Amino acid sequence: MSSAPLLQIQNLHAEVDGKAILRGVDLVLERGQVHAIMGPNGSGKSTLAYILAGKDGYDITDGRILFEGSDLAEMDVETRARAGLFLGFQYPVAIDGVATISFLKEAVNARRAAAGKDKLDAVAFLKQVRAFAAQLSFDESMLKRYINLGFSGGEKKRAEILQMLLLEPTLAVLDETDSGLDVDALKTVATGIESLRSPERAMLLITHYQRLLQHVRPDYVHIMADGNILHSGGPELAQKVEDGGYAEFQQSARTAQTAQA
Amino acid sequence: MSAQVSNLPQGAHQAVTSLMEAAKRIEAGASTGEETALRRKAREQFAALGLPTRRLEAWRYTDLAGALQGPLPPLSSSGDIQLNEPFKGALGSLDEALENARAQAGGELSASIVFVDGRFSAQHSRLDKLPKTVRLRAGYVPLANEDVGDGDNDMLGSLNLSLASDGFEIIVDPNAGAEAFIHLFFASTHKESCSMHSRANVRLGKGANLKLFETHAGIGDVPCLQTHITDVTLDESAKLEHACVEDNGTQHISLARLKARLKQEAQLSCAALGVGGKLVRREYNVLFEGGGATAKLSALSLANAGETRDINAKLHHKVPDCISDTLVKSVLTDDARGVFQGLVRVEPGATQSNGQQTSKALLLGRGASMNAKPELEIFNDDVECAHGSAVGELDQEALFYLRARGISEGNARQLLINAFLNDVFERIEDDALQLAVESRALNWLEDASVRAREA
Repeated sequence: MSSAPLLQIQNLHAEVDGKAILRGVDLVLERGQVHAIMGPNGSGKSTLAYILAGKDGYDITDGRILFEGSDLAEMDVETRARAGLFLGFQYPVAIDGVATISFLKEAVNARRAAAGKDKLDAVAFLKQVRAFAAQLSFDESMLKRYINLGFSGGEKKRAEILQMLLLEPTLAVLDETDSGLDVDALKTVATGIESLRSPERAMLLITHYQRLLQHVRPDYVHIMADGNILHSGGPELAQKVEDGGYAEFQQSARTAQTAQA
Repeated sequence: MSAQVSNLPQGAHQAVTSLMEAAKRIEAGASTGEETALRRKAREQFAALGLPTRRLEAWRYTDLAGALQGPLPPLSSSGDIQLNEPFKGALGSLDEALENARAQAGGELSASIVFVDGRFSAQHSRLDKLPKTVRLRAGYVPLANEDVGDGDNDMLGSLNLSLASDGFEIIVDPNAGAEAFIHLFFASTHKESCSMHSRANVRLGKGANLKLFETHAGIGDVPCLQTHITDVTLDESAKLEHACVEDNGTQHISLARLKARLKQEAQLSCAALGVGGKLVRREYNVLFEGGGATAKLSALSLANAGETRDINAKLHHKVPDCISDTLVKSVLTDDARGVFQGLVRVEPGATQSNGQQTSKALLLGRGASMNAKPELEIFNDDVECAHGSAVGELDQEALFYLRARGISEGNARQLLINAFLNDVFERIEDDALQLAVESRALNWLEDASVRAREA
């Protein structure tokens, strides 16, 4: 394991379809840490998540991202995933005709192969899937269905967390995993996330609201707006957002800019 | 004939000339006066029609004349092939290909009928396990049951009838108990440009069942024109399940037709996989003559650079209460072309008819194209008919999702294409037939040009 931080984002500028979205983001995640990024709609949170995962059409125009010391831009989407970067999608895609269980097996074995491990045999794999499914109250019969097809919003998010548990990522980026969940589902999902917390891993939770953060307590909270991190602090920041919204942070950022000028 | 022929490109002109010369020889060598007359009529009709041009609706999207590139003498016309000679051909491992196909068909084959370069090969065939209820004649030309042509513009019917050198007939007795499973293997082994023409009759008596697994195999890049016509009659409550895999050499042109007459409550189920060859065209011509009959047609058109797949399905609802259901799925890479023309015709008296036609195509290359034209001709109000067609590309969001889970781009593309094809496989009722079609299709998906992202 390298001694470099797990993730270093340095002066990241990025655009989507030619439109500038991120304007100089700096962020460092050390192993064992859980960070949360909060911010209003359109602040660039999801763009950051897609940039990390390597989605087409999301382009870095300046700055860089180092994952375990390696330049992420040099790695294609699947290489990042196999190296241990996991993106929990805000809107998981439904894929007609591809059975969830065979997809999971393919994904797990791709990750294992990259780590130099043997393929899991069918029995061991199923056992593991079933254990995680039970932990997440995810109906086992769903595994036979096509990926996310006909899943409710809550089922899709549980399926994302199930994938995360199976893939054991070193960096989990969860994009609004709490949206669309009722109170019970939120607790289940949070327990799933919390169970993956370990000194070897880091997590980046992207969220609008602090309710997920009540269950998965972050070490650091960052406030993002207009493509930049305006403010960083401890978990108490989340409560501040909940009480006063983002206006205060955006206001103080503008004041700071004016002062600099 | 001269007026038609002279307008053709040189390659097509040479092809037609070689075919017509052979037809005259065959006609002269016919064993009965009746055969001579039939052959002559067919030849004259072909000469009058000439090759189909794209002005003919049925050939609007497939340029046959452009695909013919020189003389295509029928291999078997001169009688220079000795069937009992040890097999020597470009397809070095005929036995291997045959064994593979037989293995795919599972262990329950009642018979395996082999044609090498259009001629029946007794040596390669296995006929010993055929049930007594099935009567088979192989190695002769079943001419008598065929009318000349299917209409005014029937080039294929007349060409085939004037040149057919071999074929077979399968008759299953009424109420024959156990289902027979027959394998048909057409191997192309020729080393020089040629053509081959064969015919088949399949008759199922009342309540009889038959499974037919037809494979066409060829390798190499020798130009060849193959025509094959199967004439099917299903008596009351008879059931035929037919699956065909066309896996020919790169310069092979295959024109096949399956004509079927369905009596009351008869069931026809056909699946066709076109995977190898410059042009694979398959015509279905189904006539419902008895109420309550069903026809389920499924086609998979898989094509790479320079190749064309053409499915032409005509379903004629003449009587009430029949169901026709056609599904064509195409996956086209590079500049491959796919064609589907479908026609469901419902006569005034054919009430309670149900006719479905669907074509879906996945274009994986910027130059790939699909022409789909499902048509309905309905002459009464009491029917349930629908048609649809869709052309699309791989879903980029789905591709990203799979890759974001560590699945390589090639595997992800393969998973998505397989998912696209899945429902066609599922339509094939018989497990052995399904496996045979599916495994060849999946094998094609592993091909580099299918897996690769468009440059």
